[in-house]
Amino acid sequence: MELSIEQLLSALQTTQKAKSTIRLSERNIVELVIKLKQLGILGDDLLHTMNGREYVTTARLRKEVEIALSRSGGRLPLVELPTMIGVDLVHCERQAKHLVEESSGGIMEAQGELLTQQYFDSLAAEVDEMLQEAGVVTMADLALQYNLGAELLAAAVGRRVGSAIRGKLEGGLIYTPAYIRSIKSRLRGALRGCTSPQALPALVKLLGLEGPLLSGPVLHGLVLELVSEGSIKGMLKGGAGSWAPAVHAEVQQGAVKAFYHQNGWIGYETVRKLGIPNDRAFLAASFPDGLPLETAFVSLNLLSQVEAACEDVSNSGQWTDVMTLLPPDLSGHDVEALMSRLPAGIIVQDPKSVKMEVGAVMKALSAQLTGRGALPPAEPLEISSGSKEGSGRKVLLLAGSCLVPSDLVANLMAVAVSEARVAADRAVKEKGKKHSGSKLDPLDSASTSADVPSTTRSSDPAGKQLSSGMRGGGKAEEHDDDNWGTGPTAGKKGKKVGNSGNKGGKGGKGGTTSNSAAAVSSAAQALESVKANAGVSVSRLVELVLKAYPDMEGAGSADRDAETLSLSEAALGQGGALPAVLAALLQPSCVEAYKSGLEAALTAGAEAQRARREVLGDQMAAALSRLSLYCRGAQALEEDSQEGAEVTSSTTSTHSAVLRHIGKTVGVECVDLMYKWVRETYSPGDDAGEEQEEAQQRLDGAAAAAAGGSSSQLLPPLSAVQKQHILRAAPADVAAALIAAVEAVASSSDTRSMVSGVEKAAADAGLRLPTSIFTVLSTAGSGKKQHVDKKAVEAAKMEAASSVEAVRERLVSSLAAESDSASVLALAVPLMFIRATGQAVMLPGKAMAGVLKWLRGKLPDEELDLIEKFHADVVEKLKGGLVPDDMVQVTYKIKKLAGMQLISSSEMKDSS
Amino acid sequence: MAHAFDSGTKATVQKIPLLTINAGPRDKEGWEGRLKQELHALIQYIQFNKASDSDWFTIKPPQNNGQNWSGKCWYIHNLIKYEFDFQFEIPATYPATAPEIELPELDGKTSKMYRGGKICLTLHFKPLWAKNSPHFGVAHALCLGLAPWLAAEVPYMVESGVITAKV
Repeated sequence: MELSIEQLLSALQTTQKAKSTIRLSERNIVELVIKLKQLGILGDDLLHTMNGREYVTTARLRKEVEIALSRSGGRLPLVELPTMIGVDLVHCERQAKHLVEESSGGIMEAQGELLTQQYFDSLAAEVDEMLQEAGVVTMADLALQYNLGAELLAAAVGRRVGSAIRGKLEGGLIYTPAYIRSIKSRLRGALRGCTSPQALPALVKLLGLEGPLLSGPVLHGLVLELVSEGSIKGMLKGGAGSWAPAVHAEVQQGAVKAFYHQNGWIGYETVRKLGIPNDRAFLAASFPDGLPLETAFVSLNLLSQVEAACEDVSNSGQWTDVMTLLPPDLSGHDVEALMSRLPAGIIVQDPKSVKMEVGAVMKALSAQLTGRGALPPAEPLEISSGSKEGSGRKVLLLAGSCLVPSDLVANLMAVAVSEARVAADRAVKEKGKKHSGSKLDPLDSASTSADVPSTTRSSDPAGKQLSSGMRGGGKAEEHDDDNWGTGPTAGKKGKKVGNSGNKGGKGGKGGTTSNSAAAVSSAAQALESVKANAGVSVSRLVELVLKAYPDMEGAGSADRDAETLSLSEAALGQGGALPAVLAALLQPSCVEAYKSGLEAALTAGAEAQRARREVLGDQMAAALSRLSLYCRGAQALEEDSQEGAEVTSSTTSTHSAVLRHIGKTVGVECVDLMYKWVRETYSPGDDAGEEQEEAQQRLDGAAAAAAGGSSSQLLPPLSAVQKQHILRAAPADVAAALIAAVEAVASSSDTRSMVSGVEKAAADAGLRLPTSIFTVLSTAGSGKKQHVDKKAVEAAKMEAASSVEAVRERLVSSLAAESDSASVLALAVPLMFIRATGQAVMLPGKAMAGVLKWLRGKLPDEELDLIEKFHADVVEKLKGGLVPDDMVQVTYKIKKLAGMQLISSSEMKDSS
Repeated sequence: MAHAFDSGTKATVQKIPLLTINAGPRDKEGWEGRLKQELHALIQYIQFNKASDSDWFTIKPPQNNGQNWSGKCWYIHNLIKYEFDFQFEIPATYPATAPEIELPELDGKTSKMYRGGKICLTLHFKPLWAKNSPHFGVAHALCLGLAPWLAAEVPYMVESGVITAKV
């Protein structure tokens, strides 16, 4: 309470004047500032810091940026500004830009950094220090080290090189003169030491000079400098990448020249290897007299050598491979080019004219052959070798490089052609046999023989096998036939066939006698296959050639002839080019010979077939006459039994038994013969080979005995299966006739129908036969006299009588030799019958009694008694009963009786 | 009655020192002491206002032996400051009777006002004053009378458009 009123009043005033404490939130203030800016009181250059607690004007910011830049040594990334100043990057950047603009070059901005000239000055000082230390500094390293753009650095440093930096700037390198001098002297030393081309980078590496400087133009500049100074001799090559010393070039050229002069040729390859780049031009310049070929450069001396060889061949008749005289690495075209330079007089080298020449040889040969006839295959080489002795031989250029005299070709041709002919023959036979044996059609058989896998002759050991095959070839050739016929033009199949042919040779031996009997059609097929396949295989010919001239194996090259002669690779692989070419040249002639051989075989086959058919016809006629003969005998039995008043069942059964027996024996034989004839006519070659041969072997004897004997019974009857085949193969009407004949034989009840049935069937089948005696006589007897030629009837009678006589003679001779009682009986009874009736008859055992009964009254009773007793004894004996004591005696008696009566009856007959 | 004044006002009133001398302008000896106490209370109140950034009036030194008072008071409504002159006389029966504060500018502009611009303080203020006499003084009258009235009436008057900001 000390204060007075005045004091209090003044206190009141001061209190009121005092500013009131402003209690505004940050938000309020921000709003206020915004308001102020809106009102334009504060202006636009007010910025706030990153944390938002301060407002900064742009001028202040600019100042701060400047300070920060100088504080950081003149280089400051813009991105660091916000953290240093606390203002957003955008504003910092803007101010930095202002700064750069205002500084007029004093400050620059590059890649987000502010850089001052002071910074570059200090950088230059550092670089200079480094340069003095190392001798060379690359801009790239600097840029990396200082993390600056290359261009910027180059500009900044380049301005200071020479002043702040004591050195030279070249190609991104800063170096000191002392450094260059040292490198130069080391290079000089190294390059002087080089005797062969050196890759400069490798050299530099070797020197341990690897540095940024020595990779680029500086190095080349240095080398050129050294060259121009005369301190080293040589030149830069390969885009200045390598150093070629002069001394090396001299040595190279020397080597090439030496080689050429020594050998008379030099390959471009060699020249290139020696390091001379434009070989041809160099060689042409160095050796103006040389001959530029495709792969080599050849001296004319070489050509004269070849010429000499050619003449040598012409004179000696021996073949030669020019390749042995020529450089080994000449190509086929080169050889050809070289050969074309030979004088055209003696040598034939154009493929066409070669073919013509071969054709001429062939003509000459065939003329010789026709003059001499067939050529013995064993000694073909003798041909013409003597006759053409002397000069004037033509020399063929074959397989690119091989000189072959024409008479050598002729020799080969002779061998090949003769083999072709022989083989053609074999092929026909073999084919025929295969055909009939396996019943395969020709295509199949060809393919099966071709499919026999080939194991030999495949690779290197084949050499031995080949040569052994050659040795065996002389003998084997007679049988070695398949490969001529069935092989396609050439190639793998040809080989395989060749093999199978060797195997097939065994089978071929047996077929030599009658293989020509193979059918017409098979020969025709073989011929056709030859036409289709061009016949003789090249591989076989190659073998032949190699056999004759083993030294030809592997000779020559097929570059040139491959197209013109269409050589196959297999043939080439087999023995080399020259044999293949020769084979290809020989082939047309061989095919020709082969075809003609086939044709000849074909004609022979047809003739043989005709002969066989004739024989069969004769046999048939003989069989038929026998049939009719026996039928007449049986008819006698028949007629008599019919005439006789007392027709007993026993006589009838005797008659039918006899008839059946005839049917089973002679009748069946007739039918079989018919079958065979039909088979021969319609499906020749269907017969099994073995049977054919047997038949063939028996032909002569059978033909002789056909009229009288039953020797043809030796022929084995045909099996049912064979008959089926024949029926199938024959045309329908013939087959029907065959079946009719079988029926007539099997089921005829009287003799007449049997004989006429068989005759009719034979006529239907197309088998022409003389009218049988039986038919003639029976027609004569039947009363149709107007149709009967009396003379014919007489002749038939005579024939019948002579036949009966023949039968009887045969029976008697058999009887004389016979001792067995049963056989004696079987022979004696027919003889008795003949004596009684004058007719021959075939008697089965069980008809024996009936016939004896029938004979009673026609022969003396005592004789009949005797023979009946004998019959009874034999029956008893056969039944296993006791043999009477007088058996042997009776047998003898019977034999005598039959034989005796024979003579008397024949006499009687003759007299009557 | 109690709820007539908000908590802020109550708290503020409690900061104003209470007066002890019961003397009116007519008591020659007592009045000076009383006036001193009045001024002290006012200084305290203004200091408190300044400190709490709720300064809302200025008052001139009283005239006529401390009987006539005048000053300026203001109220901020919607960020607009409305400022008015106020005046009052110390009644003869003071401190038993509260002074009647006048806002002459606002005469006739609101119904909560007597003729001559005296603000109507009857309802809440008078009973409170009577209860605390003689401890309440000028500062209390301003705090409890004028301040609430401004807070109540200015927004109303602004809305009704009878007053506008001077700025």
